[in-house]
Amino acid sequence: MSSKILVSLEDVSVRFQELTALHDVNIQITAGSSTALIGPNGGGKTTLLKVIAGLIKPTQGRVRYYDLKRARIGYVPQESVVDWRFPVSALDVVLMGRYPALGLIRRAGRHDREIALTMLARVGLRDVAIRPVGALSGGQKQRVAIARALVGEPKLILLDEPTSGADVEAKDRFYSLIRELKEELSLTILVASHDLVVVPSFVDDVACVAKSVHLHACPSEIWDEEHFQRLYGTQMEAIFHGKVPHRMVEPPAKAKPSRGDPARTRNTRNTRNTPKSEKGKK
Amino acid sequence: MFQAAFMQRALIAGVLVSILLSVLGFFVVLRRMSFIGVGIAHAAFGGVALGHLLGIPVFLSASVFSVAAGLGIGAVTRRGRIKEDTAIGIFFAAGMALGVLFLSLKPGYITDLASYLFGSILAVTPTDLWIIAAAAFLILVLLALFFKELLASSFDAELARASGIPEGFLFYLLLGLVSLGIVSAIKLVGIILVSALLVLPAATALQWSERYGRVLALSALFGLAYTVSGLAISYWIDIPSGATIVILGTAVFLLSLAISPLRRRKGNHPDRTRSAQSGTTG
Ligand SMILES: Nc1ncnc2c1ncn2[C@@H]1O[C@H](COP(=O)(O)OP(=O)(O)O)[C@@H](O)[C@H]1O
Ligand SMILES: [Mg+2]
Repeated sequence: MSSKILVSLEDVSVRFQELTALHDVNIQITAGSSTALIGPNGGGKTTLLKVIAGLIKPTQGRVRYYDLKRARIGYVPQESVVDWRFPVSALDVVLMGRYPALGLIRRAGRHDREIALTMLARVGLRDVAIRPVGALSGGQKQRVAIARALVGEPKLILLDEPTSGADVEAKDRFYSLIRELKEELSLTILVASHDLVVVPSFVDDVACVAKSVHLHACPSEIWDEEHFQRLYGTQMEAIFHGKVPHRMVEPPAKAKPSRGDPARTRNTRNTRNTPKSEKGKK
Repeated sequence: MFQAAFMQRALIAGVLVSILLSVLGFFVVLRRMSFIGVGIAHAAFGGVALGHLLGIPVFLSASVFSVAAGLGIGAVTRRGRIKEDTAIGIFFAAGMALGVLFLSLKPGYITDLASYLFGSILAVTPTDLWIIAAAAFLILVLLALFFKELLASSFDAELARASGIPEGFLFYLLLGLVSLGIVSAIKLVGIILVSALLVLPAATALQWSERYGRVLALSALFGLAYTVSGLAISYWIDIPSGATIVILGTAVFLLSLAISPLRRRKGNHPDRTRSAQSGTTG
């Protein structure tokens, strides 16, 4: 595996007036990695993704891009502030992802449409390609946004809570798709989520975002049997850094009986294991 | 009836101006900037009066006022300190107040004041026609040049920005072009009613199609139809052209609203959970 760095954040702080959203963040994103950003609501996950996407300028510190044009970062926001009555089809929206590559004046041609349709098919939306985007369901709109990000042929994809509100099975399907796409298109993935159950089983790294960022190199370490019990018992602090209020993320009391069945999640992991964690485990 | 030279000029000006405002209106309506048009038009009144006072070309002074108002409203709103409706209210009033002030400084009665306020088919001089043609050419060329970028940033400004589209520049460009378009239509339709010609065609077209290409074409068609038939009617029964055009446009809009095949969705946001369950892979 190459360990080429795509983006690095150096002492990045972001303040909104009085409020510090991110403090002294130092992380590097290496090509081919997949990282989950996990943390409480208001912890700064969205802010961090926007800093990397170039939408927020850090108050302090700097972001370096290595061999990576901004157009090669695909950003999929948590929710778009758009008027869904806008007269565009799903295909039109996906084509917008091609615009930066087209440059001025040139319009999207047949080649671009083919790429867009292929990507729509890939995310399971070929049948609704020419329907008005506003007529699609929330989950379908989300996948339109992903297809839009992917047709720009990005190296890095930033997903902001892509499955909030979905049930565990839907999340599972979603992240399977994302992981397939990652392999097919050699993507690097950064996904923000409050989900502690499904998401970490689909990524190589987990980072905790609560103003500051702590990176855990290997989730299989966190996720092995005895830790898992502790995680969904009382001792999340063991992994998630003392003062961070992780109970906001996933109340242990609720998480355990409802969907925190370690067996299921572990099973998911085993059947879809990446070579890396396979080796680590057995 | 169209033999009279003034009527031919009015007709040509009407054709140019209606196409121009309809195409601009497409973006204005989709970006919910309709009220900005009202503010820009009224602010232009200050420029009209100043032109008369100083004896300089009214088109020039009115353009300066309207472009300044348009960009000013945009800048103040974008900084986020003042709400858009407040900014519009202030620029609107300031432009009108300056107009009243300048008029009071000029002794005597200004004969074509009424035509600036209410529009007149008699008012379009050969020079005006050239100015309108030049403005129309400039505006349409720039819109064509940046069409897809304007479309993408009108749909989702943040995503446009994330993909490297100069969304801020395009916002100001659009405001500048709208201001110029409004000034070029003032003599024909009048300050009070010009913003209706900006809004009605696109608003009506949106009742008939959900595809942007068709909405744009229909919008131009509606604008053209209102203007040409409005001019004809106003000539026949000797009523102000601006009012005739707007009453006609409003009637067609209301009719379209009533019999629209689309029965516009009211910004429905289907349940995300349910949709996410309905399958991720296809
Ligand atoms: N544009 C903004 N203006 C002011 N405060 C903001 C803005 N964006 C985010 N914040 C604040 O920054 C903190 C981090 O927010 P965010 O990055 O959205 O967290 P998360 O995505 O982890 O829930 C929150 O306290 C939020 O209220
Ligand atoms: Mg967030």
